[in-house]
Amino acid sequence: MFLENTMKGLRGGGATHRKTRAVCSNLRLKGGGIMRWLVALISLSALVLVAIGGEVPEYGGKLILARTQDVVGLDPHTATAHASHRVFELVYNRLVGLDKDLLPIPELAQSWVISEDGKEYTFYLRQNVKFHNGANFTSADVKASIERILDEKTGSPVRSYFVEIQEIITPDPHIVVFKLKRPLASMLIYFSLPNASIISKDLVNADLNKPENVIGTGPFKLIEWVPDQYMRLKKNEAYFEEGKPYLDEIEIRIIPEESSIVAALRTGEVHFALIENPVTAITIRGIPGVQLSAIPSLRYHLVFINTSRGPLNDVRVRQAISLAIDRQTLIDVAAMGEGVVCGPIPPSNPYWAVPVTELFGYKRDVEQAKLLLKEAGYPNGFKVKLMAPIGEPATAIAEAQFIKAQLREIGIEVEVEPVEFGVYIDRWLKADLDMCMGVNAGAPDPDFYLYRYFHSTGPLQFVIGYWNNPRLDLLLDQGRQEVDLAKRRAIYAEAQKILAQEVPFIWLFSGYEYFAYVDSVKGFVPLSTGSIEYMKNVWLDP
Amino acid sequence: MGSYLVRRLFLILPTLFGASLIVFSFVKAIPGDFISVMLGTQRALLTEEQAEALYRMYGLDKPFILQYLGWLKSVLQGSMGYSFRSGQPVLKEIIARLPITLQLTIMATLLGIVVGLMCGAYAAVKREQFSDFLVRLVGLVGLSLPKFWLGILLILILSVCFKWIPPMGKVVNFTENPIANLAQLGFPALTLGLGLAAEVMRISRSALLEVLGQDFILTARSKGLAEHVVLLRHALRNALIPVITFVGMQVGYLLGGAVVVEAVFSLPGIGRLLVNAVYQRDYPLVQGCVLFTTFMFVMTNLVVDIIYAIVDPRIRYD
Repeated sequence: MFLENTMKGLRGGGATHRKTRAVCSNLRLKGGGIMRWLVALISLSALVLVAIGGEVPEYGGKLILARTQDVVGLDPHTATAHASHRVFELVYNRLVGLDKDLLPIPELAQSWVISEDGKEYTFYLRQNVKFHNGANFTSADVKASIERILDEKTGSPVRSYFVEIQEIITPDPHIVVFKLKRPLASMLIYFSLPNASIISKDLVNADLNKPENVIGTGPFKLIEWVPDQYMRLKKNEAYFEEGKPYLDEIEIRIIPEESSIVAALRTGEVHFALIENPVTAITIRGIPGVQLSAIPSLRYHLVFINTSRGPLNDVRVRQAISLAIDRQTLIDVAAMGEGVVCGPIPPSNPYWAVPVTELFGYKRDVEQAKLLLKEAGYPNGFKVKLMAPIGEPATAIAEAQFIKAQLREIGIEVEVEPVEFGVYIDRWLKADLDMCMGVNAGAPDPDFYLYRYFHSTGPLQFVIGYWNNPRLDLLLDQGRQEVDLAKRRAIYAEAQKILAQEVPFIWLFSGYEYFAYVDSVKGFVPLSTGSIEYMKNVWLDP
Repeated sequence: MGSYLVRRLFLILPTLFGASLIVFSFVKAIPGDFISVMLGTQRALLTEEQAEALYRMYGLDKPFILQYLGWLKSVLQGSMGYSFRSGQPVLKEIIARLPITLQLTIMATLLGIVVGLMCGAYAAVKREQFSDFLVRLVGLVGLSLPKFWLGILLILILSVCFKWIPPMGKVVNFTENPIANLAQLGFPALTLGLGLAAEVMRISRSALLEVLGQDFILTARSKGLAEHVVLLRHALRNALIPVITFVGMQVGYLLGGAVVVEAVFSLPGIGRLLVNAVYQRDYPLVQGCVLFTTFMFVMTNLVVDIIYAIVDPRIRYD
């Protein structure tokens, strides 16, 4: 109940955000009384913490962060690689941030108001925010940034999330109003994406892939990048959050081999590491002096099905495949037990996810699967190809091999095609596949990942062979516009049940986002998006 | 010799041209392109106009042959274009990685030659004795160990037993801090050098055995020369040709980058640069790296040919 209330207060629909706004403005405008109490309370808790041996953050120090991949592009509006996003989170800010439960919280926008009809978003911006080059941040920068995303010449993949914007008005240097063509309940979440980072209006025409043009308002400034070696980020002394960041410097080092990262953590050569492979994570758990934070990921592992190809165009065949795969054993065998079985919305998004026990196909039933194949006219099974990208994720091939073994039991002969990632993407974009393994980045809002794949006008419809369902279309349209949170939740619950029944994807599991760090690293807050934006809270215990 | 050298140097140009054209065609033939690898599945979210704008920005909208000619033109103008991924000049990217690759090559080669020749000579002298078998066995093991495994094992042993590993992800220049530099490159050089030493040992042993059986060695011995003089001055010099051929080839490969060892020890060498460029379809960078490694390979071969003539005066190039 508490969770639901919190969610109601902050997440999703417009009506609820009006409440948030009310709370924010109370604090800001009539501040006196409440603020004094709040300050007193915070000071008291700080004192109590010190008294009971709690930890008070230390300023200074250089944190060395290791990861296997270097950035692929530095333009915050076009680079989609996670490796690039991790840097954007340190250097730039968005209008809206996310708290540890992925709820929208003020970032560059101090508060916001959503109109009754859900078609107008007014953001009240923070004052006294400066870009790293000293320029003042104003509503003109917000307008310029979003317009740059909307400009087709920029080539931004997140443009599709903002196309509902009809007009951007800046009535005041610290107020920006977005007028939408129609209500879009997930709009706030879109403003929190790393690809919606706010840049200076003076740089809209610059090549933002060049390191010297990486100028944001974030807690850290990029001062040096040597590709494939390291990136140095210095503390932004003028950062708008009082007292943050604590660290003087972050150095991101590229160590391509995860076993070498483990060795570097062991010796203290690096303080912090982003880990991808569950096998590495398991190794780290046993090392004294090193902490592993594993938070259920929003990303989920799945099998894409091209429903335009026979026999996969028959829903009974897809249901048989879904029934034949024991997802928990797949996690145990292919991912060393590091994951949670998931439906169309992963359990790391608890407000929206329907428990898998309520979904079709999540209890393995070989007999039922065989029966369905027989009804569909394939009593002896058939042959099918399953493409798997090598190393993306690390467990892709193992997952494919496991599925091959399980489907053999119902007579389906799977040929696993391991391919290099560039080839995989090329074939994926052409839907040149029967079935393929994949990992999808999830998002805090269900509209984000359901609409684009499963609505008949969704931009990614092609990859599942344009499978669609009239009832689902209706639900996804309603979900986009419904501002009442409980109603919205019911809409997406039904959508998930239809999807599990119709099997245009086979949802397998969601893994973890791993952050490993030595004992001296304090204050980090992991997010299930894999974000490191809370590096601003991190301090080193000397 | 002079005219031979001039002829060889002139031959470099068509070699480089041919290699660049072949590699350009091959890389272009691999499915996928820079934009789709950069954006991943989100590439599908772009509108036609957006995609066209991006392809135009990187010059990928032009036909294959025009792209190649454009690149060739930039090479002839002394530039190699800009890396798609980093936006930096390709030449700058290569030069930044050159010291690591050169130093690693030199250290590994020296280690391979010194250890390999010593063991090879020892084994040849102690032919069919226990110590010969032992050296050969160690050599065989050295040859069979996969380098990535050896590298990971070294790092693991260092980190667990000594709580120390070579600095990772950031290169320390020799001129700045020689000790830290050698600590950083010593173990990767060892990883590469051991395999090389094993191979040099086997080749030099068999070459020496052949030479030691020849008449001029018998003559030298009959003159009463000490055994070490016979070995070092007469036998070894004559047994060096196959060793030089082999080492020359290996130096050529190493200058092209030792991808696996670079990855394990997190060294930014030419090898990783090229492999990442291929993965990311960063065509200008792929071309630049290939041009560079081809050039190094051709030059190494030329140097090897010159060394032949120095080691064995009977070899002449007229």
